[in-house]
Amino acid sequence: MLTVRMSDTKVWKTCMGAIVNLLEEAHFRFTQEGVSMRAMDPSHVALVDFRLPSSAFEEYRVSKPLGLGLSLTELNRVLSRAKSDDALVMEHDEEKNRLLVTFRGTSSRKFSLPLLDLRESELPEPRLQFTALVEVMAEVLQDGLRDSETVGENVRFRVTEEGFFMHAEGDGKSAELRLEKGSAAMPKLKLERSCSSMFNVKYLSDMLKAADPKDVVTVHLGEDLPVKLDLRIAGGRGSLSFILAPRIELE
Amino acid sequence: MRPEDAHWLREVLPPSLLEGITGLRFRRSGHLCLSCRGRGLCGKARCPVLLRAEALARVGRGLSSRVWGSSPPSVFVGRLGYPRVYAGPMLPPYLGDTSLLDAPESWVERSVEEIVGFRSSLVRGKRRERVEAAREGGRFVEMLQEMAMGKQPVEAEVFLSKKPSGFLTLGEEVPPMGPSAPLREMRVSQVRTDERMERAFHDGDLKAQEAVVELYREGVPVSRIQRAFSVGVFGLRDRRRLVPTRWSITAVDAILSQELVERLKDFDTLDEYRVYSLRHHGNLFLAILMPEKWSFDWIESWFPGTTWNPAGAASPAVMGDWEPYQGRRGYPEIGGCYYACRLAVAERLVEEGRQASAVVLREIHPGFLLPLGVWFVRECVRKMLRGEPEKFETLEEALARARTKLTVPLEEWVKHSGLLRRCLFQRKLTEFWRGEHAARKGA
Repeated sequence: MLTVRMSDTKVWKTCMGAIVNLLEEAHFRFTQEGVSMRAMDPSHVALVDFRLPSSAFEEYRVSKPLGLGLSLTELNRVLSRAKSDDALVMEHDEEKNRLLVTFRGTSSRKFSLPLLDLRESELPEPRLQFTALVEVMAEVLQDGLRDSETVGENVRFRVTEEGFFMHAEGDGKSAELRLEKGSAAMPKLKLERSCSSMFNVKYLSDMLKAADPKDVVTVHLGEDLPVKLDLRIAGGRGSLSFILAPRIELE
Repeated sequence: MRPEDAHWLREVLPPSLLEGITGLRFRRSGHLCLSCRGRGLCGKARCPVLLRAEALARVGRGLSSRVWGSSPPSVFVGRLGYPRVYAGPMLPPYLGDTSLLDAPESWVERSVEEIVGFRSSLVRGKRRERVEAAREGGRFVEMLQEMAMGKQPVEAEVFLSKKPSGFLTLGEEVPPMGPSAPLREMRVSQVRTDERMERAFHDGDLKAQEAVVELYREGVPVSRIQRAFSVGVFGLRDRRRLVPTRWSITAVDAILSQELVERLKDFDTLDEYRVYSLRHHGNLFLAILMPEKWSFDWIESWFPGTTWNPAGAASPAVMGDWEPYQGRRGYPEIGGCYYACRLAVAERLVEEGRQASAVVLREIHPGFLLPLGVWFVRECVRKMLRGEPEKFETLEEALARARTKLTVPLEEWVKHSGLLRRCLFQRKLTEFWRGEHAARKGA
């Protein structure tokens, strides 16, 4: 049996809205502790790790661990129908093998979605030797990515003693963002040594769609290594992490 | 161009060919052609205008305002004036098995001259119709619909309001077309329709998209589906309309390739890198298939002195468009050929039960005289992929092989290929898990 309820639809909706850009379908695992999902995109470039503890729900009833395969494209279509003050209820209809999604507001609106037979992907935790960590206001990253998008398809992240930098170039154009150490928009900067890596802008901006502009995102960086982005969700109770492989331009 | 401007043709064509020529229509490179008038300034092996004129002159002679012949069957719906468009039949002024005249699937083995020759023999009768006429009826549109569903040539007689004027129309999407004139009246003999089309026609609850997919599955050639699609015989009963021919060609290519792409996403990826190539009528087609999830890139390079890159440019004009696994948003800048190529590629992969990332490149060398329509891309890519590929272990080896065949430097292709850039430069997470990355860096 599974019935979960959240009074704030937005948390679930924004997370799914960001994840759907990477995955068309996903396997969610509901246990007594909470719900989680971990998967790589089809091209093996990005990894999503989503965790929402039972405490993030007003009601959370899961009698035994349960895996649900869902089409994120379909789920998103349904979630787009939610109103901002609706509460979200999700139930598992075991008989018909469906997920029931209900929006409770002025009226109660119920959708029924077929479940997919998906295998849970076994993914090892990548051991990456990050050499820098910064906490940056999501807004800064989102702006920097939008700037980068206007000049090219890649952006270079760089962390030094002086601060955090984003640089993009293409077709003779370039864009740069500087965030000096000590800025209020960067509460934390820790580094073993300076490093930089380049990434596809589109992936990053899709990932950051899940972040509240005023919230802090933790960025783990290394030299020509994947980047790890940790987003706090549901007021810090849950987490949404992304790992993205770098672009390395060879001659 | 005004008819009297054609007088210069008298200097280069024998008088016997000139009868019936009242005008020619040029596109794009018109300025140069006008000042050159067949002297070869454009550097092409044969003057495209003369080539057109010759073929046209052959049929232009002896045409009257009454044309009696066997339509392949063939119909055309224009784009100008939408939603009030020119629609009408196309037929040559003779009887017989003319099906070849409107069957692009059988043209790939033919010479450009032959194709232009038989296309220009098609006289086009045209009449203004509201696009809604497709569902509202009217004898004329009903006749066109029947013709378009015909499975063999249809004997027809058309009365035109004047002698068909000597326009040969060329376009990027549609095959060349012969002279045209406003149509006053049309008579059509009994049409034997294709029962598969007939079924879709009578099913007013079947969406156009579903009808297209179903007919394709039943083996109806793509060009016939496109023909019927343009006269609005498919779709929900109260939504049917005439569709300009060039839109219908792209719509059907897009619908079918989308369906095939969704199907191939269920298959395993290829086991190796493959390189296919085909040289045809001054074109080089080259495909690189990669053992990855589906994605697709189509890039064309027009050399100076080809249709869309008039002489004078210093280097080939390169243009392309691509889509990742999730598909694309928006219409590809490069146009309908994108979908024609995607159809040929997806079709081949579904046949084999595999998926892959595909980069298809096309070099248009100065020997290519005229735009023939996007069927040319579809059929050439189909033909290329029917051939035996060369197989490689790595992308580097495949690219090295491709480099030996291409005239445009590989670096130039990479610059324009979102997909190649991704394959060459985007690392995968799995490399970091297995420690491959460290090994690579150490090496």
